[in-house]
Amino acid sequence: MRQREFIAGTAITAALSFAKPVCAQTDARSPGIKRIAIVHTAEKPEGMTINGRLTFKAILGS
Amino acid sequence: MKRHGYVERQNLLVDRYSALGRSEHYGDLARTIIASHPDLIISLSGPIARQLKPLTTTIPILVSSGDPVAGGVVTNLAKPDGNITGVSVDAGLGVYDKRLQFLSETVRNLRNVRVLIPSSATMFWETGLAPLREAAGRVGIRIAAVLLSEKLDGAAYERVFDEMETDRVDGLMVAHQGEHLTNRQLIADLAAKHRLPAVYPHREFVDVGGLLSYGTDLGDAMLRLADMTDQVMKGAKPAGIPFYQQIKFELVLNRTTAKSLGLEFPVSLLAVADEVIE
Repeated sequence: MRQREFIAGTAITAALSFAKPVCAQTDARSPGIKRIAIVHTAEKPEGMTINGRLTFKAILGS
Repeated sequence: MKRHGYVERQNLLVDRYSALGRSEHYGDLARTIIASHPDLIISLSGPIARQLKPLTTTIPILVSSGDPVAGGVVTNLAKPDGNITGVSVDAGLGVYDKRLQFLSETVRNLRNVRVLIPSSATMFWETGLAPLREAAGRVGIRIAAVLLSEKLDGAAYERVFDEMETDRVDGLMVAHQGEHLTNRQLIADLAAKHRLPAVYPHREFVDVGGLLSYGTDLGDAMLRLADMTDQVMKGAKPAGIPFYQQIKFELVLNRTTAKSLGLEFPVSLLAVADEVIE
């Protein structure tokens, strides 16, 4: 499994001015591992978790 | 996802993207996501899904949107276009007429209403809400959109609430866009500060002090979106999965907020409410 670089914290790129992914990324082609992207208009990435508001709790948890 | 056996960082990797309230970045954001080649994209925004749509015909896109047809995301809910499907969280824009009705039953002599909309959703106001404007006109209510600036932050919300006070607005309808949910506490607080009765699309607003909401169960919609995600990851084609439209709507009233605004919900409304928060 090829590991990509771990991006810690809320990485907001000045050049693009929007939030980049915040997670430990791994090559999605590794067997059995799926990689999905979740995108929102305004929510901060750190809030888009299983412990976040209802929307994210319901998608990622339950 | 967890209930379908996915555990983040074990067998599921989640890249999280946000436009941070800047609609002018939707295009760049969409291109960045596509360039990262995820197995699947969950877009919690119709306008962003519209930006993603022309960029890929192979990566499945699951979208949560108000009205996906009116919003230009797909042309058919039963047989969605190509690689896109999802859930509608505001099934049928006629629900806005109902929200206006509930607001006018709560605020007697309602005359001057605004609909709070992010600038990215101008098309939604111009086309999707034409029936609402007609319905308001029939009962003598003046209704107009109040558009938030492209840089959607706390100052943008404060600015429009100040403008509404100057314009003597007596009722507010908060539209369904996700930006408002992110800022639900700020909106409820500003409505209280400006003593402006408001109707919201989801109960999450009423839980933090909003006056009343009428809309679908957002948690249930998101569970459906997770189910669809699982189906697609197991090989189902998005085109074979119809858009999910909720048929159950819930009316939630906040009596404490009503009292603080000097209002009382009529008995007719209390009788049909799904929940009354005291």
